[in-house]
Amino acid sequence: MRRLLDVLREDCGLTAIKEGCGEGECGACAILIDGRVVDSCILPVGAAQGREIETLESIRETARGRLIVDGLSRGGGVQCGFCTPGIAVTIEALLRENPNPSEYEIRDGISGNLCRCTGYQQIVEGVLYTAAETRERSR
Amino acid sequence: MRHKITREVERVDARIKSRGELPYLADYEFEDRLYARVVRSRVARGTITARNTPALPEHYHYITADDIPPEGKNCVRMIQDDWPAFAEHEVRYYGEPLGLLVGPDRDTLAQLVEQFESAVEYREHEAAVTIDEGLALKGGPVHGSDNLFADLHTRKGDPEGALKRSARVIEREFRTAYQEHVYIEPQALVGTRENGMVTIYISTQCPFYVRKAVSTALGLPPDDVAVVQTATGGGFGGKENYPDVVAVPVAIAVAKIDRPIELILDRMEDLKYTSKRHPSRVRYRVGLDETERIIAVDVDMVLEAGAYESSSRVVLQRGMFSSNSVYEFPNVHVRGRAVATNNVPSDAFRGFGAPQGLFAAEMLMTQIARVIGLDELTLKQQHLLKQGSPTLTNGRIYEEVKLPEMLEHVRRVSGYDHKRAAYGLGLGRGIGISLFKHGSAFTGNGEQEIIKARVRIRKRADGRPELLVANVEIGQGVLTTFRKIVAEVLDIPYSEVVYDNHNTSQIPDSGPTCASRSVAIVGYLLQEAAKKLKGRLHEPGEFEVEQVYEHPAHLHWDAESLNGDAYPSYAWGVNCVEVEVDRVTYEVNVVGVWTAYDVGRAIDEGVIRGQIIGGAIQGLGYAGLEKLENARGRFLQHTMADYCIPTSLDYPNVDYALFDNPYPYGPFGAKGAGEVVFDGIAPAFGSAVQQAIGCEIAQLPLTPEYISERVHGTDRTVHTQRKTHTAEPQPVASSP
Amino acid sequence: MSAEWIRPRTLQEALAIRSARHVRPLAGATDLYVRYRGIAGTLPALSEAVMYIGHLNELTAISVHEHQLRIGAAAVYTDVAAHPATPGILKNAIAELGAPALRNVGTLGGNIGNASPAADAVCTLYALDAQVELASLGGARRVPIDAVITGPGQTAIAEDELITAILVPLGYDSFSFYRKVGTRRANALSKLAFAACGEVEDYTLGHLGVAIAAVGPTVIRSRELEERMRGADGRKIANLRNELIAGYLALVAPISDQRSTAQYRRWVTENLLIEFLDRCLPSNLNGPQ
Repeated sequence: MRRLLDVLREDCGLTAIKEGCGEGECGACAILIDGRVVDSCILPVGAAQGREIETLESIRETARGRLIVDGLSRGGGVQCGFCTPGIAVTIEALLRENPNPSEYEIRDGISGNLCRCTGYQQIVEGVLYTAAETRERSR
Repeated sequence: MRHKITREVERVDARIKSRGELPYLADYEFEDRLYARVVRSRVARGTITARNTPALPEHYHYITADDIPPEGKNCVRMIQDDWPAFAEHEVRYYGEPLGLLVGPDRDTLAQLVEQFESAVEYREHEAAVTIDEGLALKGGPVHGSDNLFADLHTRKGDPEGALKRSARVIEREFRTAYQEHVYIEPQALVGTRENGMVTIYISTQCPFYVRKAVSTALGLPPDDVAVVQTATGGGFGGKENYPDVVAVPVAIAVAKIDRPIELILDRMEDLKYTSKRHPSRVRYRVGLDETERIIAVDVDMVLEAGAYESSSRVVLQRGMFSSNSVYEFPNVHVRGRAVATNNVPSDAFRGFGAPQGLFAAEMLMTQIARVIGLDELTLKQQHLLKQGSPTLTNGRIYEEVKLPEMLEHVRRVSGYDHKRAAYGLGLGRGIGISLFKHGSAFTGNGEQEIIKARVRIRKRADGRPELLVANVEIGQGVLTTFRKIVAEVLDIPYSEVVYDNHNTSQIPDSGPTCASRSVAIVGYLLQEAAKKLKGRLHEPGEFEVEQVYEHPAHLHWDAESLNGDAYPSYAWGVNCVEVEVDRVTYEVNVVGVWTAYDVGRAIDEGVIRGQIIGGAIQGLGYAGLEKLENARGRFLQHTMADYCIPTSLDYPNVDYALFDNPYPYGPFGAKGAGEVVFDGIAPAFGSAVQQAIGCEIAQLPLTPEYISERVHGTDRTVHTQRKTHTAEPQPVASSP
Repeated sequence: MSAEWIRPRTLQEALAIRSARHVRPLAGATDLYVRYRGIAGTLPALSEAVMYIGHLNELTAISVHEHQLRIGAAAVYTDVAAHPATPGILKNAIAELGAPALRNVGTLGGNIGNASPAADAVCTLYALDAQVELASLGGARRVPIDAVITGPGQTAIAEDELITAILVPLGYDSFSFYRKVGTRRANALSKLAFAACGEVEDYTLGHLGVAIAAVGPTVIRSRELEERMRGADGRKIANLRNELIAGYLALVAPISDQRSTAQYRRWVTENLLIEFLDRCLPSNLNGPQ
């Protein structure tokens, strides 16, 4: 059974999903299944049968998706960018569950997304910004 | 008051990247693309006795050294030509390429790789896989007659005489291990033929290196090969030379098959077979006079270079020149050797030899301080380099050295003095400070003799300036900083500057993206070129201005004796790390990280902050987390689960401060910043751990396993020989 | 070659398939799709037919029956941790297991089926005296967790059986002690893990479970040593301390591997035993000093 990652990237052309490790360690291939974040590189496509899949391609067009992009972009949360789409997806899952996360909860939430460039701090700051903006705008 | 150029702007590539819209190599589509897989050696050292090449299915190709055109050469040209594209008779490391399988289906290729690799028969030889085995010529020399790719010396004053008249001689040995880059995008390229030219689309730091390697192997003039850098998902030195190693076999295949061929390393291949940071062994003999001043330093540095030379000679030089850290000692001898082993060649990694030298030098100072009963920082301050000081290569420090005020700052914000005194010794808590520097740009005569960087700015018909340079974005922000430099000179918005051509056929060779040189060297050339364009943007039509590197006249270098100004300028740093060591598990919890840097003038504070924090976390990984062991030529940690890089939960926020110190030959005063931010973390961590566990440490990484051995007193690597009297063990700290 | 993928509609159908032929059950795939993974873009090298069971409601439910928590074998970690009845020690273990993306698909059933000696959440199941429900067409049986896992990668699960649930007795964890020593602070595999929990009544120790993972071919638990602690008060524990430490250290047989060394595992096991016996137990037996 093919990996969900290959089906989404190669058959569906959803190339915001990246392959970083192929072993479920780095999170570059993160997508949402039924609203929960999952690494698509170690998931057989059959495990997604009948379930709702969301990728960055849809998330980035939503109001919060745009704020996630804002949060990552304005404060230096993006460097080489290869881990970034997976991180953006993970942030979406995190904020759906917890719209007002603490710094620790953010760090815990993205702990499955490896970034070798930023040292994470600016990503965390970006999420705090996104969360605050999202709350502000939904008031 | 911060200069306007330092003010943070949004990086030009941030949004497209965070929207997932920027294509990386794997996202490109090529019509009729074939896939490639490398067939590798399954022994670390041996002679191939039979290849037993299996039959190929239709539409599959097996490319070997026999397919190299007669005018070409079976090599991956770096500094030397010794690294073959494909091994022919002898294999020198496990995983060395023997051939390239090319075909349309990846699953079939996977099966073929298995068949082809297992069919090869070898007469296996005893492999040398460690520094000590390499020096002992285990199994006979891998390279030459002495296994040394380089055996260099640099000398200042009369070190032998000074050691003889020393009242006390202290000896120490330090070892550091491998580090893997773990750029999140693995090595990736597509070779094809476009407009009749072999064209390589590749994730790389150095498109002109790839062009040189490919054109040499194919026997073509460099201009007959085009290399296009694609968005590069991290490099850290790992995409400096290694892309050549994957590009050359693919180019040979393209020349023969004439179809687009994609080679993307799987992560496991990338971890197993690509270059790592050089392991090191550094030995010191230090002479002190009656007043406990250091008067002589004799350094013996050995780097484990692996099976081929790659850039080891130059890494070694930077390591040697870092082995006195930021201190002035009157009599110095440094011997450096790059020893051959049967491992994958070690190569560039952020810091490029400096982290090994600086770790050893900084730990040495803490341990000398302990022996003579002096506070670490007091000893360091007694020997600090200052403006006008001679360097260990008999060059000069031309710039103002701001270390004293940087140190003062870090001591204050970290609470160092109070904590150092309060935490005692061996009680589980510690705090340590390192001082260090990193020379911007190539070592010695590299910039003026080898690179000779050239940049152009095109005034386009639409009035916008377009940058034509070879330096590329690898996450470090150069797409933004270069634009800012030129925009500032021309007094236009930085978004007006065009900088998107990364094709070697259309840009001049401004050198590789490495060595903290992009902003410091190439940025300066761009600034100077932009000055020529100033006031001319409204002129009709299209024209170009050019700027070529000129070595500042006050700098001198003798490559034979390694004497003179090893670097045109230095970035300086002070790092402080505070730790707690768990008394149950020996795990180190990093409580705080405080840093201060002089990088000349920051071109963009956001970009520099990104380097500082990212460099610190990568440095903490090197210091305490990232364990990569080699057994019989194979890496034991070859999955991401086992080779652990820091996650978001491993380390705390990093505090930083920038000390403005404009450098006259840098753009707006900027010096290099990409590596200095990595260099000093490990020794600061090491010093903190020493205080927490109450004993000396002598290696990296400082894993819980190693710490447990030190605490139980079973580790035998720490030498404590002294020439004269043996000092009673002193506290690591003596409170001020 | 692509292994056959079988997707039963019900547990009953799954059991029928399992009894009829050899299939590899798979739910989260977090272990199998890593262990058998090929090079990027290729199919996993799984030669056996795979039977997907991650979608079967009978296997994903979590419920409480008479002081017993029933965790469906294919309930994902995230759901197990979120269930109000889940014992704290198991929640702690799950919180330190992998990362969110893994906890959203990984299952206890898979962890047990793979029988890794380093499985940290499973370690707490030993300490909790959990039982594993194994079902076949012929019916179901309940087997103590330590009788299910017989060696590294080895289980007592019959060819026609499926793990259907994990049964955790409730109320036996008035105190607990859990420590995972991982390769890093998150998203880490364990170098070793130590789980203990039990009951205290009248300043004496009642039911107790102590389990240590990754220091032997299977998770280590000694009923004999636990029996000696049962009924003990703080003073008795202090008297038994050295014997207990020696007893446990005689049972562990750690190895050196790519994650750690045998020596380190032994030292840390000893330290954890000391921590447990000198700090955790006294503070629970004697109350706050």
